[in-house]
Amino acid sequence: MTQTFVVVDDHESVLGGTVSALQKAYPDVHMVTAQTAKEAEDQVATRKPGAVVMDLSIPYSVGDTAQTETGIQLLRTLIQQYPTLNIVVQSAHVRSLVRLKPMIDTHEGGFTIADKSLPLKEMLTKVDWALQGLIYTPREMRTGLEVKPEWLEVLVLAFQEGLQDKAIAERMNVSERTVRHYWTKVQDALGVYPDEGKNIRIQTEIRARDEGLID
Amino acid sequence: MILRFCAAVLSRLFSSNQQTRRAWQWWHQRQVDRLHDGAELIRDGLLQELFAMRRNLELACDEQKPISNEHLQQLEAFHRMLEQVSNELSPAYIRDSLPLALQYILQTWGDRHPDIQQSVQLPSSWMDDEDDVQRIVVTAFEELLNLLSPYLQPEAVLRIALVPSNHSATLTVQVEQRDMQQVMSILDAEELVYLRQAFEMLTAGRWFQSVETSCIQWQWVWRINEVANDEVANNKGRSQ
Repeated sequence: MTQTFVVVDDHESVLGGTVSALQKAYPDVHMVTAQTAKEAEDQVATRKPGAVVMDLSIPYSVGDTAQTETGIQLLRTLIQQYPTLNIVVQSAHVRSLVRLKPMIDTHEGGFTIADKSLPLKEMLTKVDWALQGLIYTPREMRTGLEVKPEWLEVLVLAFQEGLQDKAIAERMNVSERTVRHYWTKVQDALGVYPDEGKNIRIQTEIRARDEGLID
Repeated sequence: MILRFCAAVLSRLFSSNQQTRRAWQWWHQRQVDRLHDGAELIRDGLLQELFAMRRNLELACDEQKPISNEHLQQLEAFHRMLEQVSNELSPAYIRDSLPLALQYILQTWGDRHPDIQQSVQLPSSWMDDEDDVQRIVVTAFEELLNLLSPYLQPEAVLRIALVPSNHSATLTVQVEQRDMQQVMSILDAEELVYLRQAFEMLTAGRWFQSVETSCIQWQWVWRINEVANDEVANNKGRSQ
């Protein structure tokens, strides 16, 4: 079945540019557009997309004024109703997402943030990360290292006891999928992301030791 | 009879003071909103158009006709300049998170003063509160840093801490440096007096100042609401 992306932006020229860029990078994916939050909700409900790429400052419906709060509310709805949906926020208002940090922390799908100041190549990287189920939030959205107890437990079980994900899942009495989500959350908190030629788990271990999270 | 008269006068003075404070808060908020609207015009208008231009330019690039990196860099530089203007008009996170707003101001101030060491203690979460007082705290904080700058020597240490407790929040700003005489001359600055009066008037908070041999400290205390304080405590417990 052909995968679909829903692209949401109320600026025609911006929407066109984003769709063209995504189509070039993902030629087999069907692109669907929406210019209002309502249209986006309908498209996601009917298309069950592989990813949503959205701006924050959008109107709720045709004729309404574009507002960041509308985009924030749309995100809240999407995260609540589709817990495994991969989402990329491409916006000039990314800082407003700090209000959703607790929800982003528990979202099970990929979630990445691409400021509109980023070059095309970096935006596509963020889309790729979201499709892999990874989380990316800018460092400036945190006042320090914020690691939840369950993420820390994953680090300890993996790097002090040498357990693999399946064994970690059994020990923590959660699914393997949940363990993988914990990995993406703690990697985001530590600022560890895919880097060509580097092993991400080893990078995570190095950062965790640097921060004193594991002995 | 005299007591009743005094009580009536005090009550009148108190109401008048409250009304004056509300008037100045309203005035301050109007100016802040106007600047914020200007910032939004840049983000929602100019930056969007610039983004579309750059994206189309990047897409027009192919292997036969590579786009000059110089052109893209110029566009990126222009984008950053506009972002900077937008941030000057309305500081980042000012409507979203007090700790992050303070952190952002410290980072940009620190970029201009890389020789000053910073020690920062900010909570990882804060109340989701549309609090006008918090915005006043942010602007006053930025103003204090700008007032301090000319008096600080390289390798001075700036310590910042934001702590909520009971029904109030306390922001502490402490400066340590070898030549304390130099930094103590700020205490004679008229602008510091104005800032103190403006802060206390607009926030209904208190401004404490203490001087010791090795440091100067300012502590600002203001009321926060109960619901907001519980949210911070709950979030603190969850993330621990």
